[in-house]
Amino acid sequence: MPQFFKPWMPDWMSKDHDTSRPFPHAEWTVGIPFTTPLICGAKARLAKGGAVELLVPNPSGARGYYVMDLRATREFCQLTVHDEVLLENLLSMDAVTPATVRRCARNVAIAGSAGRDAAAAAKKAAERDDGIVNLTNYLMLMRLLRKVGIEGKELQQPVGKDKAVQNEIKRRLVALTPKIGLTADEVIDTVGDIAFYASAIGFAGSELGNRHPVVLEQLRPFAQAITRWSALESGDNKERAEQIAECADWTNREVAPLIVDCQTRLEDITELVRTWRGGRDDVRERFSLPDWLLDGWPEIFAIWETAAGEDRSMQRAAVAQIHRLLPLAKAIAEDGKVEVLSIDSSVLRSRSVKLHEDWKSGAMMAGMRARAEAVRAGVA
Amino acid sequence: MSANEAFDALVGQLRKADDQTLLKIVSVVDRLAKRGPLDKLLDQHRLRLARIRPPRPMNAGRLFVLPFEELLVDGRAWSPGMMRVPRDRLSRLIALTFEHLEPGLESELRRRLQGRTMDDASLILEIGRELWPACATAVGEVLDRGRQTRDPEIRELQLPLRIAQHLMPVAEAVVTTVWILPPKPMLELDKAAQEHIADLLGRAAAAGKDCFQLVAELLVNRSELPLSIIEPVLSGAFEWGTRERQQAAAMVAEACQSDMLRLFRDIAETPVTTEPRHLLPRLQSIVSNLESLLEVAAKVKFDHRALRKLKTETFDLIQARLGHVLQEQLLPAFESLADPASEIDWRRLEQNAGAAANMRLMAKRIGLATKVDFVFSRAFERYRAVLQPDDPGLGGRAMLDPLVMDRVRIIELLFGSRAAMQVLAPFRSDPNDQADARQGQAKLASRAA
Repeated sequence: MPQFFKPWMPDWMSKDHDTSRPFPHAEWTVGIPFTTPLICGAKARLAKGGAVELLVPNPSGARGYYVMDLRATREFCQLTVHDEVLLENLLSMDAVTPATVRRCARNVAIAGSAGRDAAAAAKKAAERDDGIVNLTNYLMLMRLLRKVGIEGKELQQPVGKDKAVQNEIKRRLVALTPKIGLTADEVIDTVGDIAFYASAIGFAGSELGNRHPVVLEQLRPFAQAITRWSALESGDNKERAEQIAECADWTNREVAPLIVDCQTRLEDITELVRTWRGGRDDVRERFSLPDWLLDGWPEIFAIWETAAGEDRSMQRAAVAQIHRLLPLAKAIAEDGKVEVLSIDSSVLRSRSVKLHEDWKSGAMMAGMRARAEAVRAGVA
Repeated sequence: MSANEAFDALVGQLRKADDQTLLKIVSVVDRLAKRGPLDKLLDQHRLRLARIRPPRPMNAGRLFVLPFEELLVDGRAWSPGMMRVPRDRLSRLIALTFEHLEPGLESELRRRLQGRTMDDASLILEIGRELWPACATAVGEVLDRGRQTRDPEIRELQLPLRIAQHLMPVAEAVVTTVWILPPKPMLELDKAAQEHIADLLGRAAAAGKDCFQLVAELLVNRSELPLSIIEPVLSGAFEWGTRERQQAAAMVAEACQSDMLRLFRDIAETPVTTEPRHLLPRLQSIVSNLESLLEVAAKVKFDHRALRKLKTETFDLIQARLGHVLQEQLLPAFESLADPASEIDWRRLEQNAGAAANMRLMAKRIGLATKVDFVFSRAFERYRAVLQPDDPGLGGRAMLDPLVMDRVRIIELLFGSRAAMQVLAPFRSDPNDQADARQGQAKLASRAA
């Protein structure tokens, strides 16, 4: 595979991006993979004035979220080293999106702050994703070339250096210039930009294991498994399980058509390149929306999978943990808001769960942290 | 190949076996009439087997044992006179009992249980309602025979036989209660579980004092919170007077105490080099029971002085072990982590560090917190001295390497994240920020001192 397609970061993630432009999905939230038990399951959202707010699920397990400025997280509780470094990384980003959070989290995990297992998994996942971006980029270019009557096989005839292949692609792409009004270099750049988003979706029927279709495929069986499990439950556990299954079904219903739409657009690369040049925001939003809606589900699947072999009491604990991690997209779409709890000074001072002070809760917290790190290792 | 060699080969294969292979081996062993040493072999894998849950075939012997399954112990840990049933004598216990069952009952049950597994809760209860009363009678006959013939085998198995005999009248209640209870070790119980326990104790009380004592023993063995059993004893809805309740509660408390003493002696006898992760479950059980019994000390009469003595001794033991663990066990391994060529098992090291931190919390609960904190603050200085950047001028965020992070994690597990961040600071900050880091370290050190 050619190596010259470097991973690319869209300009709106970069520091010099025009931040006065309203963020397209200001209402959406993104899960932050903290390992500190008290803020495990927290989500970030963009607030007015460009600040980033953190929504922390009620530590008591009851409904509602505490909302605070992301920069004030340290005031709320003592963070683990992993979370300190992650927070620092997040605060240095100009945009908090599922992609940027994933990137930060991977970098932090690769450094080893969540343990060697998580580091190895993050490294592998980063390499896999980079590989899929490169491959998608390559396949998109091949499709474009096919439009001008050149088959991929032909390009591979002069078996040689990547540079030679690159030059050959450029030479052949010149044929497209009259059709879309772009030079070969511009076409390559544009396809590279689109591939960054498209790689998570992939072509229809692709067997690359693109992120979103893989997650989407697991939603329905997961919802069915939870529904079956809830049949023998009652009270809070049943209610939680039903909410989880409903949320999974809702996500499946919302995301499936979005992915089909993106895959249909990927069928006509020429048109996609033209649309991107006309106004990239529309394409970017279409291709990144599934990322927002599917955010958090891989972690949820990993927790449920781990609990599958445990006894029922452990499964109840897993369901409670999943409930805490549940994406807010459905709640926001249906109610327009999340239930916000007010933080008075006592929340910051009283520390209802005295971390590392009471021996039972201290030991429990250590266990929760270990589980969070194991999830990090399972879903990098 | 001799039988011993074949056995050793099987031990090796079992150790390396994946889940599916292990399950296949278990299904073969399950079909054997004589399991003998194979049972002992499987003992080492019971935790893993519990996780992968082999669907155990249902048979009459297994159904008979179900009510006292919670009281089974490893054959090596059992001694005559102990209120437990040795796993390696189970087959003999079953055989002796079934010899006295009504003729034809066993073969009739075998036919009905053919191809069924222990997952089938309703079948367990259906067959159990026929089998358990029959077994109670049969065990009674075995014991009578033992008294008449002075059979040494029956005499040795007398206590396990009595356990079976006394539990059979409440077998169904025991089995259904254990199904609803959280896994061992039980801590806090929800209302439904407490009601089940009260109901079971009520039935046991009606069946007689021996039955009540065994049920209490079974529950205590399962729980790390005797309070959750003592409370139903004191206020459960069964026809007992205050005095009887007090006596029963005291009995539960004493059972807990003797259990704690046994655990304490177990730990005290382990070599000082024992890893903290192996000590932790037993220590947790002792501290949890201590905490719980101290709470009911005002309500229940038992030997309070012995309890206070055990508390002091446990604290001293934890403190001494922690000193050794921190300085002699973890520190050398911590130092070796820096060497990429060393073959330190980092996962084990992390588990041990986590266990040591837990032991610290426990010790603080039962003794003078400052004493334990002093052990840790002294150790922290040594750990911090090991983890110093070679060249402070080369600090910078890009310089973080996984070998440093491995050790920072150990510091975090042992001394908390604040200490870990302070240690990490010189590796991450710009050279100009190092003065701040040093100042922070000095503050931390003075606070720890």
